[in-house]
Amino acid sequence: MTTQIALHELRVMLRSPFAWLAAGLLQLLFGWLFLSAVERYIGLQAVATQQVSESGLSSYLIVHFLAPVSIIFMVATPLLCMHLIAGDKQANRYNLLLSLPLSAAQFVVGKFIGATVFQYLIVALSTLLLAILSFNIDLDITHLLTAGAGLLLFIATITALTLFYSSLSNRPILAAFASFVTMALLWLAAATSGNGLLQFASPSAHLHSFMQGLLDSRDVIYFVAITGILLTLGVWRFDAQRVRGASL
Amino acid sequence: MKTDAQELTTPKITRKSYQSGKAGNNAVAWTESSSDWNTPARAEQKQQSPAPIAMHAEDLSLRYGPNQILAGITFTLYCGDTLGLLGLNGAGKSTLLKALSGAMAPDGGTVQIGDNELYQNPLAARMDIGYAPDKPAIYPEFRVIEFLKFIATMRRIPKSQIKGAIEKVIERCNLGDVRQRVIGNLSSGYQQRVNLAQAIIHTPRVLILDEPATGLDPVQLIEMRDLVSTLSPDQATIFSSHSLSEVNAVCNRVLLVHSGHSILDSSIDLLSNSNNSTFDLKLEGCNDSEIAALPGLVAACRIKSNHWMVTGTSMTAAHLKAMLASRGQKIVTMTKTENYLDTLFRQLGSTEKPAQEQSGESHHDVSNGVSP
Repeated sequence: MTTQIALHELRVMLRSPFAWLAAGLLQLLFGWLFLSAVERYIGLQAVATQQVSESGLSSYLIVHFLAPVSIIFMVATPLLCMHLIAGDKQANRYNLLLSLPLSAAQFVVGKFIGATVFQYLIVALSTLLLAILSFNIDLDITHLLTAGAGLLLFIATITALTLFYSSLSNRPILAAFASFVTMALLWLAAATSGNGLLQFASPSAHLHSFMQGLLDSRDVIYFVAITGILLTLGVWRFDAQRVRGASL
Repeated sequence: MKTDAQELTTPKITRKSYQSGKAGNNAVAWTESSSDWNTPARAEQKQQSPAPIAMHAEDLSLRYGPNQILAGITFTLYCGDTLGLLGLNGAGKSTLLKALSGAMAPDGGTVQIGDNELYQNPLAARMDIGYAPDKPAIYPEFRVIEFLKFIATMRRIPKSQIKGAIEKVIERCNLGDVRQRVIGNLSSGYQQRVNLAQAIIHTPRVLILDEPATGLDPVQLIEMRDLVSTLSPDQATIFSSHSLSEVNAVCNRVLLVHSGHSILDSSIDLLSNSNNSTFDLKLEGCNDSEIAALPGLVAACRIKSNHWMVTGTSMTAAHLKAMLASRGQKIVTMTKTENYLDTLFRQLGSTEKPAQEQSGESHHDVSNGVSP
């Protein structure tokens, strides 16, 4: 049943003109970022007295393409996922969904998977740009894959956060705003503070390790745990109305 | 989780077995409050073959902060029943329907559907419920057929039967012409039909319709009435409405809710029977049990403390006056009324709070004629 909900959510996103528009704009933005990064790299090569190594291109692309992409998703994911539950409330579907013979976990996890897969499809399209380069240039695939994995985990966490905020609100835009503000504050905290606790709490700080090519199990556990906690909160929230004694 | 096939083999609780306590619930839904009560209508009810119980709600209560939204609502719905849920705006109708559909858990009380208690075994109990909210619960970007397929899957109709179920419901709800249309582009009447179709696609034992007539034109209204009246005798329907004529046309029973209290649960036939008379009574110092003990009483509803609407078989003003006098009751005013529900609503409209909130007494329904 979780799969059915996920497929349904994917269909809902694929039917939404806003999702298509957002996906199109993201592709445009990612393409522009990519070309800009490659062009600047070529410029650097011409200026440099020595040849810049090809593995340097991978690092350059991660810093100037994948890292900005992750920041863009801090805005895009809240906008793409704000409707996940708040949209059901706004469209008067919520009570019907609550009355279906579904567990809250099936419902919330299904929606999360559907929304995450949609965003992964957008990421997959933009990685085609990297694939084109890899035909002629020997890129550092391991480094790129590690950074890519971090990006995917980062997107999953923002999706879970937006889903949770969406379950709290009747207005999708409020969920988007709350999610964006939370992520922005954590990002700023990680960027400007040397505080260990803030560094630990910020998804951006953990993503940074992936972007450096470090596959640290602590970072993986952090993303999985935070996503799991947010989904559990979403499940509790969904059951708060229909299960006696439940609250959130 | 039970499968549909398992649900079909669920032994049904009959009215008789329920009364004798075999239903596994201590509640008694059917009480005879008067030994004198042996009216023709009651005799007719006794001769009818017992219908299985489709749903039994017991003592449903819900409080939001200081507001009591539902207060001890109890009723039994038999297979074949169409129960009209009436009440003024804010009476608690939609909240009650949400509680009965499993979309909202009340603070207290139980809802028994077949072998399953809705709040203890929710997934299995919800399989037997179809729910159409007051505003169409639809995905506007989806085509009619896609939306029905999604609901059929969620309602756990076996894959091999989904196509047949969709075709059947499209035919029943006259959606053939718009089956491939995007729901958001349909008129509100058609959207309401889609809303109804999703509720009946899995042939639920209990169909819960929250103001289904909203947005329908007169022709669609007639079609909707026909649809509800042609449901299987194994099914029961709860139908909320503001329209008394609508309830009169579609339902065989009425449950009147006021400020979260069930103040009337009666058969429509008994209320509208020309042999029955209805009186608007104001008494001094009378309680529920004294009214319930009146011989020939069909239905009684307390509007305020000491203010009643009573209906009885072959009851005349003189007869009622004498009966009350013999019980030591002092009548303040007594008016014979022609239309029970109309008058009752007018009286309720002029009352801001239900009787027991003003008087502090316990409030309970003393209606006797609760049989279909």
